[in-house]
Amino acid sequence: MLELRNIYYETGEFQLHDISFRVEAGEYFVLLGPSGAGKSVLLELIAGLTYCDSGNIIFKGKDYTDAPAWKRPFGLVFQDLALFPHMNVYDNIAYSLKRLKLDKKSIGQRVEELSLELEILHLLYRKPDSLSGGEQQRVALARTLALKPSVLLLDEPLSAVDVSLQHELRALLRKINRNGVSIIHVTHSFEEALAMAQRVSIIEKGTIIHTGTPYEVFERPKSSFIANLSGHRNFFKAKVSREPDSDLLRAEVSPGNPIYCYGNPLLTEGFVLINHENIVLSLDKPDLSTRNNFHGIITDLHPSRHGFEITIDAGILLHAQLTAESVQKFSLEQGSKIWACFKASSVTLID
Amino acid sequence: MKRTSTFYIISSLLGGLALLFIIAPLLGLMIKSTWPELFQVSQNRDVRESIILTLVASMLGTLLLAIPGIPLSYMLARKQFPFRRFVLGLVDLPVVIPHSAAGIALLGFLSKDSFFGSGMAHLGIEFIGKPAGIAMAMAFVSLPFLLNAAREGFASVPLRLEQAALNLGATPSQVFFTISLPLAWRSILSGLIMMFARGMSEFGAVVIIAYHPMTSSVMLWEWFGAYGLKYARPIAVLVILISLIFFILLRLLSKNDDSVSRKKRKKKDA
Repeated sequence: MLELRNIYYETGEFQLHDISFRVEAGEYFVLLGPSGAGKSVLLELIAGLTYCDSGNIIFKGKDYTDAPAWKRPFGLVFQDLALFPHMNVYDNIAYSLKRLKLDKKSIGQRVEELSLELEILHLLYRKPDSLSGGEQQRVALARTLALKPSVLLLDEPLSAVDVSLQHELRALLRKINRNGVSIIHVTHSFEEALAMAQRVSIIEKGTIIHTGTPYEVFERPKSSFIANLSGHRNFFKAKVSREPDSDLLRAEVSPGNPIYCYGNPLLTEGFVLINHENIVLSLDKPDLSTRNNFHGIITDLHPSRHGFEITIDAGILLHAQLTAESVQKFSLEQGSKIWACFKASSVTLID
Repeated sequence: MKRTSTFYIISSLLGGLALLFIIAPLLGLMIKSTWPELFQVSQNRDVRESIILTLVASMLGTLLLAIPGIPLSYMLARKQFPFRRFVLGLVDLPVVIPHSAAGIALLGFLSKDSFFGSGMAHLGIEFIGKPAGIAMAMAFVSLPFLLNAAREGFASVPLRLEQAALNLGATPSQVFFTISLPLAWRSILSGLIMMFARGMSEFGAVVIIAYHPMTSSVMLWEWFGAYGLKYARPIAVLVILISLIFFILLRLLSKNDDSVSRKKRKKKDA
């Protein structure tokens, strides 16, 4: 339905490049990325508040790339909401309807309908600055929905409200989506993306690096940002080569520190993912069948939800977990030498 | 004991001197003038006519130039365009050039010998020696006050609000009239008051465009030259008082506008 094709945009030293994705009718699509990745700029490009240098924005077969903002069927809810301070809630919601020159009765009906849906009927004659963050968020949503936009663009919609209100607003956004409005939701929060997205795109340094269902994206991450977000601490970019006369692959994470694994033999570059649960720790050199055996020094050791999380510098930084009992039993502390071992078959190689 | 910084004490003393510099001559003028003198001057028909002409010409010039001036301020606040910095400097030019020189420049522009002057004359509008010319001279020297205040007002309106309005289907002109103008209104009104007040007090440019009919500043100059300080003083007091009355009235108007909107807000909130 809405398709972005090879969008390129440059401002100062920042660039958005090779941005392509498609959002289907009624889909809840999340753009996830760290601060400064270009998420908000991308929404502004879709909304027509700024124009891309090249590429196309196609909606239902029509090219909107050069269309002015006021002629685009995309409603944007800004991160800072941008409610009009000199108008009360009623006039804020009715703003777009007045531009359509609808009669007063129709405007009143539509405002009432939206206010009921978003539970803000009691706020209609108050000024925005007298409302709480959650109330303002609802007013901003109502104002944008008044025009019945085909696609709703949400810029960090839950960032300004506290945790208890976030659940309420998530339910509200799902309800709006169920009513048939396609949503593009921009966020830096992994939990938010996981909770809301039917599909998610990861944007980093001005480009989209992965698009898929949350399961596809977070189970097989393609950037350290996503790997960290989804709890994968042992995530490395590696040069891959094939071991002679073997199915094994040698993933060179840093010079002299290969990780052996299995995977696509045609790969020359990829990402190596080691689940910390698969790392076995030992004080002495273990007599194990594991193909990957690293000897290093504990550089960090701190309590975590499941015991202790330790970081081992063995040429590469490996993260593992131990129970509190094990830490006590082996008298582990910062600076202790330790072996970290894992099987080649426990390593995931991602292209 | 509460300690006060030496710097603040010195600053207060110096600040007091600056205030005294403004107040002392005005106060001296007031003290030296008697009520019977003031009453007598206010009964003089020429004086009354000159004051009305001054007020009307300044008001007319202000309102007329506000029509192109406000959009120019908006463009300067919002848009980047070639030679923007040059235009920003140009806007302040009437403040820095000698006003008599500004009058000479205007004379060339408004006289019937010029393209503009002759074109307007064909439409029945003449400037030299006419109230319309006085209004133009007043507006020329005082326009920067409006342009700068309005530009600052527009710049203080968050761009996000205008973008939100565009996204809600408003065209740029609708955004201007429904968002930018209402939110910058207080600064614009303040600029209009300053322009009006400064226009009223103009002498240098006005006297070159029109010695007659006489504005209050020109009349003051003539009375001073012809009859001396004793006769000029009461008219000076009268002109200052009238300027002050209008200045305070208009200031109150802009303040009331703000307090009314505050009251409305409270009422709706209740």
